[in-house]
Amino acid sequence: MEDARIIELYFARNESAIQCTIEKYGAYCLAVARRILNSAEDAEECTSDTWMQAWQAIPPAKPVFLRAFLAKITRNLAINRFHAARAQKRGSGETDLVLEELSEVIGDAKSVEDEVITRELRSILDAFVRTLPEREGNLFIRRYFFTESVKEIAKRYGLKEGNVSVILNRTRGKLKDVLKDAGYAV
Amino acid sequence: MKQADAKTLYAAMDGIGEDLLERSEKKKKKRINRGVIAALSMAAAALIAIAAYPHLFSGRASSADVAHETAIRENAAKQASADVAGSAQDEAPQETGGGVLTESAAQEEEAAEEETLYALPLVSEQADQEAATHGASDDATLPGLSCGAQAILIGITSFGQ
Repeated sequence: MEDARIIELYFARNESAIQCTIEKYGAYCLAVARRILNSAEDAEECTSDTWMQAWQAIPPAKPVFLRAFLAKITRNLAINRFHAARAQKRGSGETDLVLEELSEVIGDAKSVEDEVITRELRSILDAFVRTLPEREGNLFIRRYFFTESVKEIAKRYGLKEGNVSVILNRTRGKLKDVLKDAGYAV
Repeated sequence: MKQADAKTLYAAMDGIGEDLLERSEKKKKKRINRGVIAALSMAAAALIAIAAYPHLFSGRASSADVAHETAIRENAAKQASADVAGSAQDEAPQETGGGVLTESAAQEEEAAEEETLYALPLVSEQADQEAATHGASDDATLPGLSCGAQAILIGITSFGQ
């Protein structure tokens, strides 16, 4: 089914929209989540959350590229799940639980600052990728957005792994300069 | 100085536009080696040349050439026969006085016709002789190369362009 038709179903609040989305992009979103989480079970749970979040987001959101829109949702959910799993491993004591309970009562100054910085970094990164030549931009996205391995990227674009590593290294250097110019400590 | 760690930077990657994400999904088409392309072009050119001029490669004349050659020979024979008949008519009144060909005159005419016929070179022989004498007479042909080789060369040149 065409993406536009699926989005129409979301706007009509027709629940078959979710089924159509799963049929078309289920495997794709599962792959996005699995690369971050490295666990099939966690990835399954993550994609279930993706469908729910997409249902809540559309409308008002009307994505032009549904696949990329779903990839972003899946990625954010997977990253949150990844950090949660790591935190659980790190501190299974009562102190962590107490701190978590208290964080609901009072705001976290650091997290507010983080939010501002994250917002600024988002726009810096978007502008940065747009300045890159297409191939470099694509490689950067596959590596740092989709978390693909160098081997996967090389296969996708018909390049040698060494070549991909060199291009990514050069692109990271450019990003470092951009962040330095924006006033970040690098 | 603003501070941000790798975790924040990684999370902020979702600021990259959806159009760019979509663009990155396209897989690069596999490159074909230039040598392979050149070899395929040459093979295709050779096949086209063979298909266009099969008689040049089979070692036999084409039906069109045979028909053309036969027509020329027939015309030459008719012309020779007409010439002989004309000369016999010119001579006949002196010998017979009645304007009628005698038996010996008819035999002479036949013999003359045969001589003329066999004296005429074949079209292909004529072409060979001309080629040997003048080199390549036609501008479109290349001296020292067979027609088949020329066709392949033309095919390769056109593919190269």
